[in-house]
Amino acid sequence: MKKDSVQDLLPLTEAYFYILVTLYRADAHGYAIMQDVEQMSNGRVKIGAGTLYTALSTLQKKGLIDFAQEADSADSRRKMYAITDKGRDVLKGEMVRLEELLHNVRQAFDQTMGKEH
Amino acid sequence: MTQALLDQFVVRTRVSFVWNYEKDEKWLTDLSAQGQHLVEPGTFRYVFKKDTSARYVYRMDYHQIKEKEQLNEYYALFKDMGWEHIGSNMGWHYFRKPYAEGDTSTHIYTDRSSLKQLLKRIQFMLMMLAFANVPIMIVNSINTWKWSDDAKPFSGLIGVVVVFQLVVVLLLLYGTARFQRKIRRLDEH
Repeated sequence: MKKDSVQDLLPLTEAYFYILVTLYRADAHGYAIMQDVEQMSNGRVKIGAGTLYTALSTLQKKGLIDFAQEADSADSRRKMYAITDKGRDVLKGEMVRLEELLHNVRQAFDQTMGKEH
Repeated sequence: MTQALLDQFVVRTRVSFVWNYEKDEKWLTDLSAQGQHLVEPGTFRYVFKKDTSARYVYRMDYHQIKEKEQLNEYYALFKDMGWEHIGSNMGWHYFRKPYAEGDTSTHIYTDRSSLKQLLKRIQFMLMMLAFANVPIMIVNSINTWKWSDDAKPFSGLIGVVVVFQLVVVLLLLYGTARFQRKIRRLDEH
């Protein structure tokens, strides 16, 4: 029942994947998430404002993230996000999928090493 | 207002369709490069402020956010990312960012999933508008026919309205198809 609506998001795009990784580590505000993702990917994955807003709304609607409990809500306009258990499960599932891909491509490279000219 | 103050502003008229929103972005950005910056967007009427010392990149986003709190969160997120909110019109929000040579982060949509959702949002709005018109058109058509003998001028007027509505609906359906093509092209990539 949970997989049905989340299926439309799978496989996660790099931006969505990295947003979940960032929130898995710690709760964060939108802008900070964008910065973390850019840093984690060495500047390769840049998230635009429209993408970030849509991603956060969608991930929240699918139950993968939610608003975090903020001790000090100094600025209520800047929401803090946190990953949910469902989000952790999805991320784990993606990790397994990527490991399978990586394993097979590594094997292909290793096997053809001797055959390279 | 003094003439000097009035001279600072330029009003432009532009008729464009939502499926060409990227052309609108380019138009606004090009005008900004010439020192004219959009300060007030409208359906056909756009107000620009003249300032040759500034230059911006303009982007548009489509979101129907009714709740004021949610809308402010939306603007706040964009502001954090460097985008100044200029104005909104019918669900379209206009943003700008100072132009910088070689800046690679000038797009507000950087991934397929979210871009697809934007296109679907706009497409849905067009479809809803088209379907909302259909029942009214049917009623109007019936009335045109019903009153064609008794109240000729009146029925003629409604007839014109029906034709106008038909054109609008056809345009909306055309727009829906244009977006469907854009979405399909995204999937093919």
